[in-house]
Amino acid sequence: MPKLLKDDTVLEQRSLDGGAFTFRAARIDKLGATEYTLVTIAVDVTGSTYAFSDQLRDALVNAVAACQRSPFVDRLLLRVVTFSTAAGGVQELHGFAPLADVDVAGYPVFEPDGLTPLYDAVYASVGAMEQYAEDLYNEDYLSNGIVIVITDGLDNVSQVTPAMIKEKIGNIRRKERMESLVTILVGINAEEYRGELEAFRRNVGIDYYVDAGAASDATLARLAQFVSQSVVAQSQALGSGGPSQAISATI
Amino acid sequence: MTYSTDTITLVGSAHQRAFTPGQDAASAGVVSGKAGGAFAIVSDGCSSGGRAEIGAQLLTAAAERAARLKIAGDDMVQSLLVSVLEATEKAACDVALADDDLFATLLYAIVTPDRAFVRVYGDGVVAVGFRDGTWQFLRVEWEKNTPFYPIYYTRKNVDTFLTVHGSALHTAVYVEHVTYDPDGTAWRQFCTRHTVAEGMMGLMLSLDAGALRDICALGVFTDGVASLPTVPWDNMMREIVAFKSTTGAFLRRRVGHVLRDLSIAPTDDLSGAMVWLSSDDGGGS
Repeated sequence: MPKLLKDDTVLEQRSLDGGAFTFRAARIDKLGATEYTLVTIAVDVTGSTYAFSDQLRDALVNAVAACQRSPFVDRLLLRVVTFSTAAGGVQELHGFAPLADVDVAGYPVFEPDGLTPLYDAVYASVGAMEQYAEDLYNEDYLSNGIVIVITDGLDNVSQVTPAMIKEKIGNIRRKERMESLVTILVGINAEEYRGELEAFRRNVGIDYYVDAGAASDATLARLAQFVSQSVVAQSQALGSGGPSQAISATI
Repeated sequence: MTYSTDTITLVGSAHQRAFTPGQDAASAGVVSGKAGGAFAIVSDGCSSGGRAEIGAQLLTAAAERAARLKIAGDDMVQSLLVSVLEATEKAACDVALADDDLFATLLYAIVTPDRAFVRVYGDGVVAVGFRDGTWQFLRVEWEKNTPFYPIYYTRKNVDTFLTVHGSALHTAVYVEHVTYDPDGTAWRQFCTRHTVAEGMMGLMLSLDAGALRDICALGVFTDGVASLPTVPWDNMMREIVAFKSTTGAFLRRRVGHVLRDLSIAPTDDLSGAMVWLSSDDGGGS
């Protein structure tokens, strides 16, 4: 297993919904800043991404590396997950870790296979963020968040339902433990599912659906830029009382 | 004994609207040495003074240097004032600061394993936390909203200051004491009165090793914490010290949380500095 985090980065294991999903996160008593932007990037590694999985990994690496050059790097906590039945559902590359501690060179080569637990990925991403944000709030930290889920197709195997996702996103907005949360569903090579993915977005309360177009070096480079710009915009909005207004709905 | 320290300096909305600098300063830190120790310092520049933001920063920096030297040398003379004024004057003369650039209060707390003391020159608030969860807050105010600034000693302004208050023997300093039980009930409130002379000497709280065993925190705050329009000062202090944790930027986190919860943007600058003490057996509050 390649090393993804600095040696002294300690993440704690946490569970969601009684253990249905788990996640790891930096120990709160080890955090140095007063406020954090929580970032989750979820990447589809199902069989249908086989043709462009290397470029997809490159896009992830470039996006994270670009975020690491942000002036707000010290107040970003990043979690990266992949999703596919072949990899055991929703799998964490690393939990919420200080962005500066992440070694992108250690991100593994994707091995695409299996079916698409898209709902599980969205639910686990939003749910983990909700729980960690609540813990941060209870320790007096201010936080906001951004969840970006990248997929090339529709759900065909999840345990959770869209209604459960809708409830989870609604909970975050009602409880106001986070200053703001931005959720983005990105379709890559998903033109034929655009209607269904857009309907899913509307149905569960995801803020944006962004169609990245057909997978190519150029679109994946733009995807990396979009992800990093969205993350940086949301981190700049922290403390303003609301979400970033600078997030583009197009790539 | 282990210490954690933190500070907050918040620029009031009056300064923000006027595009002028905040005039508070704060510093806190842990010092290694024979026995080690920690300090917390705040200063509030006079709003009707000159470039009092510089004076507040200078006094704070001078006090920090003096505190570090005293603690590292285990030299617990209870006043840092001579060292502070010497260093402040030296720096101020080098850049030709005027008298009113240096008009600023000075509050500090020094803690070592054997003893602790707090000194207040001017106005502000002192917080003392006990290991059983009790908190005591002391608010120092001066009549006519005219506090003593320690730089008066070296800038020959003492006579003018005394004229404002009538005489050195006039009672012009009021210290309001409020104690909160661990359950949050304010149970003891009284006011002590002090003469101008006593105030000029720097009102002092001194704790020996025995008393220090019961203490988990010492903090000093500028009067901005007592200038919030909708929240009584002691309620505000009670909220501020309800720390969920005392690691990292614990004071900044807590003040930020309280101000967000109360939807308050202080008009006056607000500064605080705090030392949290944990005994080696893991004791804290």
